[in-house]
Amino acid sequence: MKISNLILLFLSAFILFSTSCTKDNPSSSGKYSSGVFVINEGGFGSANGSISFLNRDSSSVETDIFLAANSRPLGDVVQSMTIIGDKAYIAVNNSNKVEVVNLADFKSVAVIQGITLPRYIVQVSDIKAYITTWDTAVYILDLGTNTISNKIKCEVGPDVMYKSGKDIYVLNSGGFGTGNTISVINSQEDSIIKTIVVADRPAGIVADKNGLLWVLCGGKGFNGWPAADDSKGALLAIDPTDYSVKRRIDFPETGIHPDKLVANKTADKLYFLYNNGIYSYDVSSNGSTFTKVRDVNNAYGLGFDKNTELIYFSNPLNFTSNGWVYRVKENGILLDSLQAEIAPSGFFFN
Amino acid sequence: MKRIVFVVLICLPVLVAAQVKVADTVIQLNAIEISGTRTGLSLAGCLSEKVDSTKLIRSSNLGEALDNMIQVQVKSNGVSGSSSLYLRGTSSVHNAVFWNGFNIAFGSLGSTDMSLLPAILFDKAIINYGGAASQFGSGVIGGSVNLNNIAAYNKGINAAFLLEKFSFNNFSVSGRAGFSNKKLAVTTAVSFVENENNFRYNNIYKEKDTLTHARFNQISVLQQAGYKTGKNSEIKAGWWYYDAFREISPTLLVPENDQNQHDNALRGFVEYAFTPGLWNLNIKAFLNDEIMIFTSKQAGINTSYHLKSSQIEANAKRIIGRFAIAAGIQQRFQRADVPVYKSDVNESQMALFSSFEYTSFSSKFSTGLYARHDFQSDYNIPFCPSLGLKWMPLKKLEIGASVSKNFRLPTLNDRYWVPGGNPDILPENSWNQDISIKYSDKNADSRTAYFITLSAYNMHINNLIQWVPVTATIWSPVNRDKVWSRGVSENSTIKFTGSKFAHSISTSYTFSLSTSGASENEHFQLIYIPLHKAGAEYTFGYRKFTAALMWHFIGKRFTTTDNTSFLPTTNLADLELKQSLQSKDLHFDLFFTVKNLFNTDYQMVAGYPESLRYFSFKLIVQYLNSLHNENQ
Repeated sequence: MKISNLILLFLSAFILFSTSCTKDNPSSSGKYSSGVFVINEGGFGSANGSISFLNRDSSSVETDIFLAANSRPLGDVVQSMTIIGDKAYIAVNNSNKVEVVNLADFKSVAVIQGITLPRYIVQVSDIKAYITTWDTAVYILDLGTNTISNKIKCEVGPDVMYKSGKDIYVLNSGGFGTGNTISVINSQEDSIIKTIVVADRPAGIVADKNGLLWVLCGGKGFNGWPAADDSKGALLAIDPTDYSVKRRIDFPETGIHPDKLVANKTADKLYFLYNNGIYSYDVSSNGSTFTKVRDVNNAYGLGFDKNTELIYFSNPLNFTSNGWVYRVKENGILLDSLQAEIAPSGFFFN
Repeated sequence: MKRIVFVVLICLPVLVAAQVKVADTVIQLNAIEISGTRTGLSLAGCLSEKVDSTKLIRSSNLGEALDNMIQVQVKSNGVSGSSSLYLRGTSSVHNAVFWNGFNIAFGSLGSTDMSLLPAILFDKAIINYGGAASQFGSGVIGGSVNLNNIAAYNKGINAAFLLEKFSFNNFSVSGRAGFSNKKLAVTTAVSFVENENNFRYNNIYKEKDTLTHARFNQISVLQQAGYKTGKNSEIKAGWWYYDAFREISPTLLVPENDQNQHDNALRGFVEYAFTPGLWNLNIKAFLNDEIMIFTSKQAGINTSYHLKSSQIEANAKRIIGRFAIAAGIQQRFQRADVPVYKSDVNESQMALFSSFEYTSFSSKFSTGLYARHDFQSDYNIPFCPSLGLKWMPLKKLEIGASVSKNFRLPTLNDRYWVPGGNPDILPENSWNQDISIKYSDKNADSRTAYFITLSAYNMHINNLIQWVPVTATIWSPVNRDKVWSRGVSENSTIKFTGSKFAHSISTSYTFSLSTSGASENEHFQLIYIPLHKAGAEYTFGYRKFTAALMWHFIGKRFTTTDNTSFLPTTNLADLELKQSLQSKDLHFDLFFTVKNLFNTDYQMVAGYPESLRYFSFKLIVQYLNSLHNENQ
């Protein structure tokens, strides 16, 4: 055989195998390869946080999958879960730790201790991830060793994050107080390159179909308990090319605060919780009109499953008994409800 | 007059044995009580249980002794956390703790932190089961614990000293000394506690670990004095101070914790009693100044409470033949300086109360009709009557029954907490029914004695106050569920006393069904109230040596309001050995106790570690005269 043909054969084989490898998702195998993870905070100080798993096909719910796999409870106030490769990283807020489990069987592979009040985790490269904490810092996690390699000092209460290219947008919620900025971190240099002033209590961030980053700010204060120093919520659009605020829509009242922000599959509609309802905003509109999708009572968590194009929201009831998860179509029609565990507050869709 | 002033001013500090906090959830409760009228707190027909003095001495603390008694549970939020009293399946806010007849509940929370109660030698502690709002007002629904110290005259000098050390770094020392002659009785007690609470426990990986950040330190001082101003008159006064600092212990799933709590209180009272002929007149005043500060640097919390309250009460009782008629008036003021309330709180409350009691000539039958009406500008408090009767058809048999209406006012936190406080919240109210049967007997040679108590109770609590999430981030109290609490209990003892040997066996069992639900179809057991609770104790004595084996059974306890999660049943055993010695006027008791004999891994509150097996060494030294006093 000619050398040229061998080279061509080798290249063909290389292309074939590399393509098949990139198609293969390591997380596509195993019991939890596809489904919905419900994050149940548990009661503060009650040591009953957990994760439930919802099988989309059967609509069955498997409860406390961490306890079932590891014969020990997950921890106190389960805040969030992120899947990186074939692992799941679970921020357990009041237990000051991040649990690392195999996604296939949810068995623990590592416990990262000594992280003060971890909130959310985002993979920023093949070798590292960021963990926000209310320790006024973003912790840098070495994914190879599952250890903390460094910290980036932030403003108070770094919380939800969003990855846009090499930039990581960190919402500084204020923690137990009130924050109103976003720190933009260059993930290659692990340093803050820009601070964007938004409105009080930034709570959620998503990208729309046009590449703008939408940020929902809840405003200072508590729903239904107005105080003299309350502030209004706001929905802002940020241009990631120059970090400027392109649009701002203020909510009308100081006593009613929006929360949670998700985008639909086509990223042309935003959904959020507001005034005992789920509301939507059309990113293509230039107006400031929010459309009520559905009335909800005591909604705590909100998510959007791009697989099924269903809105998920949760009701924690009294935070001391099992809560409920509801699935709603984008037109607001209720599909079904499923019982979760104590204080369901978030979702991860795999 | 000069003597009266002298007595008041000299009020030697009555040292109150600071509570010794044991590694389990039992709260030690020392009682120094100043006796006076209306301090018995026992209404006709109601079941009362005196805490046996020997059991108090044997137990590390009163909470431990109380926990073995019928229908009582003491629950702690961790070994160094606050501790609550649960009687008859109700919650801590439905029971009251009285000191010298004054309710010492913390106004913001509506309950008494048992871990802060003075812990030294008791003269007397009485548990009164059932409602007693008809005489003592708000918060006495499940029952009450009455702490009393008898100002006994003409007893000479008495003194006691207690030293206790655990096998980990817990240490306490307390002492008490008193003097009394025909006219003057003075007692002073002091206690010092330094508990590291660094005990061994099993962590969530089932590995042995040592508890950290669970330190508890307390110093308590209590002084009381009584002086007979005349043949039929007496003045008493006392003050009580404590200062405690605690590190809130971490939980099994929160291995590090920076929460701390500092408690400080100064209380005092003065009382004048006059009993000319068939009259009994009493006037007394009480002052209370309490501070609590809770901090957590990690959570950015620094919450402080400063509460001041005062109370003045006058009552008169007239005995007419077999009848006793009484009436009284009480005025109470309360001020709260709590930053989270956003404004100072000033409240006043007045109450009128009366009683009508009859005792038959043979004393075999007695009955009492009681009534009280409280007045407070923010509420329409119900009129609370109660009727009780006691009948002894046989000399050895006593039957009691009572029915009562009771209420509980919302706490300051219920009304003023920002955000969430509900100024429109209504008081709770309840109807209680109780019945009890006591039988005691001994054989002809008095070598064998039997005691048995059977009781049953039933209560409906309406307008139960519950904190619920009104939004996802705001909790607020609402009047919601009804609670139906009912149960039965048994408590029995058999004693055999020989010339050299002595045996006794005691058993107790309680069944508590306390249910609530948002609708009539919902009947969930209240959290942390076990359906079944039992205990047994065998004691063997040979001359001055005693060995006791104790078993405690606590049934399943639900930890969520929908009863989907629970703590499993717990079986615990303790072994206690005691050697007594006598040397002239001094009596020594040396104790060696093995707690959690079988090294059981258990939790009393979900997530909070409990100590594996540990040891306690205790030395009690008493001046002989004090023994004579205690046996009166």
